[in-house]
This record gives sequence, C-alpha cells and structure tokens, in this order.
Amino acid sequence: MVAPILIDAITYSCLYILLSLGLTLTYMTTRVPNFAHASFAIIGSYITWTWVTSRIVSSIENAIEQGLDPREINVLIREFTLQPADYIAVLVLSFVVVGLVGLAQYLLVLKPLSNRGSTLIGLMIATIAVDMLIFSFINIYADYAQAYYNGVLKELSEKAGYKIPLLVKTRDFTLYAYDRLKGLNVQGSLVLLPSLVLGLLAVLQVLLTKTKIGIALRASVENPMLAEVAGVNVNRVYALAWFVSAGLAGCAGALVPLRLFTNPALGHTLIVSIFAASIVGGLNVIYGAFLGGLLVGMSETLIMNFLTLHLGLNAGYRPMIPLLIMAVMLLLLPEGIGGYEWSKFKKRVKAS
Amino acid sequence: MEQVQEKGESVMIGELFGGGVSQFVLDIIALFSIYSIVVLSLNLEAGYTGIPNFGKLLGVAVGAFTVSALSGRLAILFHNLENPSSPITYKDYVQESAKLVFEVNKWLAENPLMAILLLFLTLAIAALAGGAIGYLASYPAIRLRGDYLAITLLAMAEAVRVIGYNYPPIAGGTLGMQVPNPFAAVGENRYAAVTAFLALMVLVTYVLYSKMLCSPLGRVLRATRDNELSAESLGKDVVSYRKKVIVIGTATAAVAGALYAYYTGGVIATAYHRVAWTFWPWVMLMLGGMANNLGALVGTFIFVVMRYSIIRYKTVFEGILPFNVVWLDYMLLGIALLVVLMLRPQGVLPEKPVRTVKKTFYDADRRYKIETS
Amino acid sequence: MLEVSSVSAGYGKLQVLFDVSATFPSGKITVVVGPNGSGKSTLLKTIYGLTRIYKGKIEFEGQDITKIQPHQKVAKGIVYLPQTDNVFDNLTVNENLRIAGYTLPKEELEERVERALEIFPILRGYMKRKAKHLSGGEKQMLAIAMALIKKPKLIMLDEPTAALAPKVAYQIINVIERLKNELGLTIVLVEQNAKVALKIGDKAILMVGGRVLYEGSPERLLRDPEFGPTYLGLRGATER
Repeated sequence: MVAPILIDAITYSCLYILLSLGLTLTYMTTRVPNFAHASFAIIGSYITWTWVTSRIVSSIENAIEQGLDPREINVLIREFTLQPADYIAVLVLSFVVVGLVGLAQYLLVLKPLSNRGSTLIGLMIATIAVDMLIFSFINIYADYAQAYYNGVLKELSEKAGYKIPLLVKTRDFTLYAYDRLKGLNVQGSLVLLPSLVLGLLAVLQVLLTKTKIGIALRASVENPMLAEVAGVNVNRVYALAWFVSAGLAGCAGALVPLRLFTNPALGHTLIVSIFAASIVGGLNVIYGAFLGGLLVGMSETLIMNFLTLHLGLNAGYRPMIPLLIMAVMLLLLPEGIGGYEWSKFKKRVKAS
Repeated sequence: MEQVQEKGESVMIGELFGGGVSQFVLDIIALFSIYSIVVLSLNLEAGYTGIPNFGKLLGVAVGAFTVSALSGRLAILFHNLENPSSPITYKDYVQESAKLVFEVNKWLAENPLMAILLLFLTLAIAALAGGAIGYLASYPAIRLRGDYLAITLLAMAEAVRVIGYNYPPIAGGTLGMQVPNPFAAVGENRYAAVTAFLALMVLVTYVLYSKMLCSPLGRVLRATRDNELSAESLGKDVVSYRKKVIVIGTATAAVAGALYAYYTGGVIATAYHRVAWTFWPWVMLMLGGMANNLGALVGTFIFVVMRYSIIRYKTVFEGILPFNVVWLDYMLLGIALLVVLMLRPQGVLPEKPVRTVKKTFYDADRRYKIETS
Repeated sequence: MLEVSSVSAGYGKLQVLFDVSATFPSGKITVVVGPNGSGKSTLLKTIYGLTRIYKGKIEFEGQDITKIQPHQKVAKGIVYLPQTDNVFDNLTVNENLRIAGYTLPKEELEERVERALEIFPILRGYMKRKAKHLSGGEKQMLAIAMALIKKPKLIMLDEPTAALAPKVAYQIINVIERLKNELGLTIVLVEQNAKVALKIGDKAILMVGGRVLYEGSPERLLRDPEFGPTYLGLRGATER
C-alpha cells in the first residue's frame, strides 16, 4: 500500500506537469502567458462529469425498463465503476473539445490582435478575457446540467415508483468513488496520470527531434522569421501547438474530478501553481515543465502535509507554497532550472 | 459592489435598503468613488509606467484587511484609554466582533472627533501597509520582464487573499467580520455622509495624482513606459522608478480598500477577489484611456453604472437571461475586455504599424507580435 | 539580373535610401561598400522586402518584384542572409539543413544537403552538434549552406565576415568566390572590410548617406584618391 501522501504528491505532480507543458508550449509560441490555461482543464472536468453522469443515468433508465426492483437499482448505482472505455472516451473527447477551444483562442483572439500590433499587456489581457468567458460558460453549464440531470432523475423516480437515491451536483463534486479499474484494486486515474506523463515524455522526444513538424516547431519558436523564410508556415505550426496544448490541459482536467473536488473556479486556484511550475522549469524550455511540475507538485503536497501535521496549519494556506517557490525562483534563477545555461556554469566551476 | 462568494451566490448591498432612486444614486457615487481611486492608481502603474499590474487586488485587500484587523481593536484601545474605569474587554476578538463593534459604534456615535481620528489613522495605516506590502510583493520580479511581473503580482495578490481568508484574526476567516462605523455620529444619513466623504477622497486623489504626473516625474515615467532602453541610457534608473510607482499605487489602492470596508460595514475575504478588484479596474482603465486620468474616471463611471444597474435590477435580467445573472458579470468582463482591445487602440494597442514591415519583431519597442505571416 | 531603379525606402517614417539605382549583373559578385549607416544593409533588406518602399522599382530577371512578400522572393530564387540570427542556434547542424529544405520532397532534400556538404565538408563532422556550439566562421558556413539548399539564383550576404577572425573571414570570402565560380550564382555582398571584398568583386557600389556615389569597377574604386580615403579608410592612390 502506498502512503496516501505519496499518492497525493504523484497526483498533483502529474497534473502540474500536464498543465505546465501546455502553458510552456503556448508561451514559447506566442510569448504570452495564457491566463486561461487552467480553465481549459476545467472544461475537461465537466466533460468527464457529463459523460459519467449520463452513463449512470442511462444505466438507471435501462434498469427501470428491464423492470429491476429498487433494491437492485440501488446496488447498480452503488457499484457503478468506470470501464476502460470510459477513460478513453473522456480523454479523447476532452482532448479534442478543449483543443478546439485553445485553437479558437489562438486563431480568433490572439493572432488577430497580434496582427494589429497589440502590446504584450494587450495580449495578456486578451487571455484573461478568454478566461472570464470560459469561466462564465462553465458556470452556466454547471447550473444547467445539474438542473437537467436531477430533473431526469426525478422523472425516472416517478417511472420507477420510488425515490432514486442519487443526487447529482456540479459544484464541489468528485467522481472518486467511480474510479476503480475493474478487477484490480487500483484507481484508474492513478494509473493513467503517470502513464500519460511518461508517455508524453517519450512522444515529445520523438516528435521534436525526429519529425518534420517537430523540428519546424522548434525552429519557429526560436526564430519565426527565419523559419518563415525556410518555408515553414509558422502560423499553422503555432495553431497546432495551441491545439495540442489545450488538448493536454483538457486531458489533465478530464482526470481531475477523479482525484479532487471540482468546481468551476478550480482553474483559478490551479493557475498559480501552474505558473510556478512553468517558471521553475523555465518558461522557454519544453522539458522544464516536467521538472517544474514535479518539483512544485511534490513540494506543495509534502510541505503542506508536514505543516498541517506538525504545525497544525490550515490546509487553506496551500497556495502559498507554489507562490513562495516561484518568488524564490525569480529572485535566484528567473530563467528557470531548464533555462539556465548550465554549460556556462560548468565552465565556471571547471575554471576555478 | 456585489460580493460573489464561492458558491456563486451574490449578496448585493443595494438590496439591503428598500431602494429608491436616491439610494441608487448614492450607491453609484460611492462605488464610483472607490473604484476611481483604484483605477487612478492602476493608471499610474500601467498607464504611465507600463507596469502590468494584474495584482491590483493586493492593495485593495491589504487596505480592507487593515481596517478589519485594526480598526475595531484600535477603537477599543482608544475607548479604554478614555474610559479606564469601564473598559471594553474581550477574549476572542473575532468571535465577539459583532458585539464588540456594536459597543464601539455606540461610543463612536458620541465621540465624533475620536471617530474622525480613528478613520484617518486607519486610512494612514492602510496606506503604509499597502505601500510596504506592495514593495515586498513586487520585489522578486521588479527587475524582470512584463510577463514575469504580471504573473508575480497576480500570485502575490492571491496570497494576500489566502492569508486573509485562512487567518481569522485578520478578517474573520470564512465568515468575515464587522467593522466599526466612523460615521456613527451622523446616525440615519450614514450612507449619504459616507458617500460624500468618498467623493471627497476621489477628488483629493485626483488632484494629487494630477500634480504628481504633471511634474518631471510624470515625464520620466512616460519615457520609461515607452522605451525602457532609451530611458535607461539617459541615466534614469528604471527599476527604482518602478518600485516607487508600485509603492504609491499600492498605498492608494489600500486606501480605496479601507474605504470600501468602512462603506460596507464589514469585511469578508472572499469579496476581495481578482475579478472585482483587478480585472474590472483594468477594463475601466482601458476603456477610458491609459495615461489619461480623466478618461480613466469616465471608463470607471460607465462600468460602475452598468454593473450596478445589472445587479440592482437583477430580477429584470433574470426574466430575460436563460442563466443566472451573476455569470453575466463575468461574461461582460470578458466581452468588454475583448471589445476594448479590438476597437480602442489608445494605450493598449500602438499606432498603426508600418506596412511592409508587418511581420517583424521589435524587441526594444515592446510590441509583441506573434511571429507568423 | 537584379535591377534597382530609383528606390527610396526606409523604416516607417525614417527614410534611409534616397533615390537609389543600381544593377547587379548575373553570375557576378557585386560588392556594396560604404561607411557605417550608409544604407548598405537597408538596401539588401529592401530588395528582400523587409522595409517600407516609398517609391521606386525592383526587377529581377525582368519581373517586377517590388511588392511581393519575402518568402515569395525565396521561391523566385532570391535568398537573403542577414548578419546575425541566420541559423537556428538550438537545432543541430543536420536539423538546420533539413529545415532549410522544409518544402522539398525527401529525395531532393537529401540531394541538396549532400551538395551543400560537398561545398562545406567541415560541417559533416558537426551534424549532430547544436548550431550554437559552432564557431563564428562555422556558423556562417552553415548559414550559406542553408541558403544553397534553396537552390538560389541570387544570394545577398550582409557582412558575412563581421566579427570573424581574419583567417576565417578569408575562408568565407573564398567560399563566396567559389559560389560564383562553381555554381554560377549572382552574389550581392555587403562588406565593411572594403579591401578584401573589393578584391573578389566584379563590380563595386559605394553607398554614402543612403545614396549611390559610385557604381563601377572595384579596382578604380580602390585607387580612387577621393572615395577611398574618405569613405573606405583606404589610402587611395597610394594603395598597392
């Protein structure tokens, strides 16, 4: 049995890595920190919520049609777990849907503004604006979905003749209970999160060095004009980068409700940690996200645990930890661990 | 303004009093005043000095928390100094705050001079605290590029909010707490008095800021904003100016926050969030025109009226909209920001760029273009 | 042949070129010299399309190319090598070469890379090394190699030997000559180091203050008693 604190640490580290990757990637292309990035993830969370809820509701519906009695229906509800197909479905759906949202942000908001000569502040504000819009839409959906599904359940209750013991809520919810890989006594999300991270590490390595588009991306972020001259359609490359980044955020968000209590505002809480992770790793270094996410995720969880246990500190102070890490990083090494010219450091050490 | 708590409900100040046009007008003036002070400080930082302050909330929160943490306690101290024979005592200020504030208000009603002293003393302390914390918070990133500074300030503001929410002695933690009423002596017309005072404060701020910005300091700041490299080459220490400006700006915002706390009569940490106190001020500033104090006031007025009207007449909107009015606020913010960015070039967008050179990267010029064709 | 006719151009409102006319014969090296700030670099950038052209015309092989976009000019066979930032520092030499031929089909790309390596065999040993770890001269060679992959007809080089040690600069100049001789390229070479450049030039253009003061034979420019000392730091008639 793995210590719960370690599980927490792994969870947050993986989430931060996935989210920081996207943030760093979009930063490298447009040089703008995307304040909407964490809210991208929450869209994925609600996609998962919708998928799971509709699955449960339709299985209840089937059960009623088949004439199962209340006791059996209750068992059905209690024993409901996610199948591998469910995980795949929410991941793919989230990737695509949120990817499109990110693509839209790039093509419809950032690129046009940039073409008009917007300043950095203007572009940053644009990302905040998009964040506000996404936030409002998520909230509106949350209100609607909760009412809708509870309404459906009410109807089903009437049909079944008894009150179905299920009340769905879209705020402060978690799908933790459903996250059990059938047969094995392990949570699907705990398997998926590290797998995604490791898988990405491998895929990125191949993508960025062995494929044409990967090299084109590296060239574009380094010197867009030169890349343009070389024949690269830099705009298309950037658009792809935004699609993938947002998609990754969506995947991370899709798994969030399986591990944490989820709210539409969760993105606003996470964004600070994600910025910290990206800054620690280096905003200009794609692999920095892995390091930064790991460091911040681990530190946050372990330090908070220590403080709560030994100093009785309230868990609400948790956001201070990534903030302090970020502040220290900016004072000592603003370009991040990944951004620092270690070769120069080595030379200095050798010389002395 | 409205206080959006985490569950998405809103407590609207205006609804606390039956209503009527005069109350509506008073509320608008009060909110306009408070927001104007915030926006003027933001204008100094962002409009004149080019500091992307996405942590404007920090100053406001510090000011409000200063009032909630100190005002009552100070009042009790003064009371006890004046009446050593019958002191107000307490064991846990936060727990007993409602009762204590009630006692304090009684005393303040009879001692208007002490009330005025309390008011100005706490405002001064708020300003000092704001300046100091603003300096500390910006320190890690003050020498760094705009995007790092923006992220840092945003994060620091969140930190202040987190502390205020989790450390009960400051602002009553999750439940909030009440704040003494320095205008207790005025009795019934309290809101009119407060509003008049607020209007006065805006005027003072505006005049002070205008003087400050018409001075050589103002010119230096504008040079700094437009081209850091050439400003530096002229021997001006850009970083030190940034620091000074942040201190002044945060102190000003703290005064606004303190005023807001007194105006609403209570403080709850969740009411001080970046949407209300960072992002809305940004839109107000952008609409009115950066580096233009009068324009800033115009922008503030427009949005204050718009938002307050929506909140006040919530029921009307509820009929029209297929969703909760509260979300309209966020949607409007996003739309307003985008509209202003797309349509109003002053300050946020530079003048029309050169035609054939459309696709190049002016680093020193601080114009960031997404490099594609 | 490249022909610039009465071109006035600049950056935004800042005019740098004043009624500049010049021709650059095919298959020859035309060297553009002049003091700092005379508009030499701007001339190249203008031909390539990176500045604002107030008036005038630029023709290449009979076609009016004044208004077309930079990457379209690449398609027409015009390549511009800026003074700095002409390679991708964080990409390996191999990756740099491949990006240069991004739009080419695989076989063609292989062929052109191979050809480029024949001209710059030194790069073979560095294929897996990141460009930022190359020396100044090696980087320039990589930049020129990348330009060659585009199979240009005209190469414009902006001070390729700046910041290079004399021996390395000499190597680069030799390479440029080989490009003309072996590949028949038309070359426009902007140079600070007038002496060296004029030695390999077939034609010389002297620019001062955004205007063309001289267009003709390099030897005569080298020996000119007025232009040489005044603008090029040469000793004029006494130059051997």
